[in-house]
Amino acid sequence: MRRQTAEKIVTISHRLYLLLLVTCQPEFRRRYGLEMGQVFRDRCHEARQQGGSVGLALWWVRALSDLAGTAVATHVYAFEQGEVEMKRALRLIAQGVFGCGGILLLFYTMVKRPMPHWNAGILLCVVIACLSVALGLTWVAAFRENGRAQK
Amino acid sequence: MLMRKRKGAVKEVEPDPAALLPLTPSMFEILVALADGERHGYAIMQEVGARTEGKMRIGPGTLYRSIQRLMEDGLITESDERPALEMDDERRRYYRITDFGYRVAVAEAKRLAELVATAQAKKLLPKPRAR
Repeated sequence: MRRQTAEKIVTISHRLYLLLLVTCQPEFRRRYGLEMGQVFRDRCHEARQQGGSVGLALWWVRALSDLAGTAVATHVYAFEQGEVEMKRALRLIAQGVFGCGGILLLFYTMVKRPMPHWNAGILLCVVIACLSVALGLTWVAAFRENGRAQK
Repeated sequence: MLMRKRKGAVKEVEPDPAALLPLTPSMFEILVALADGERHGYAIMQEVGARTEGKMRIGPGTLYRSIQRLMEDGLITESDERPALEMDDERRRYYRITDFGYRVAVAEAKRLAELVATAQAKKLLPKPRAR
């Protein structure tokens, strides 16, 4: 019974780790993602055998900090590699800036500091424009990827 | 491998191992782990942990990031050979060091040995006792 629970915890940890791999650069993830997951799973078993739940938790902390570093490093490395990656990175940054900017602006003007009716209307338009640009960039990218895949 | 044209002939030029130095600690550890045989990712991780008595532990991300760089630089390669059927796990990939990778590892080891000699000369480290 206890062994089954332990196996379940390791399986859930493994799945969660595979999900978190989405933060890494796509090409790197496609090539090494499954192997990384397998290594993570093996180490989970080892950590659990050696230190129980505490050992597993400590391994999770180490794995998360390692994954955070890897996510940043793989994107930076891909950025250094070429123009296509650079365009993708710039597009991601633009999406992030416009998307987050829009949401923050909305929160600030509507919730934190409600504005007079007229000003709020203009700001709402700016927010909608920001979010539209972010969404538009995503759609353009999706259409291009689709087109490339069809070719 | 670099190719150079000279008098109409195409000659293969061996890359200089020194051009890739210094290696990062994790890259060097992986080369050392593979120096005596091919291994899969988890076995490399275990070997490094055991050899350094747990002082250096490579996470999966750092491990495969280093493997990616080492493969791109031609220092290691994926092995086609698989272990015996009962010991094999087809989800795993095995890696082995290339000849060039071996030479780079030797060059890095020499570089570190020279650094240690300098540290000993400056009395940062005790000199090893003569037998």
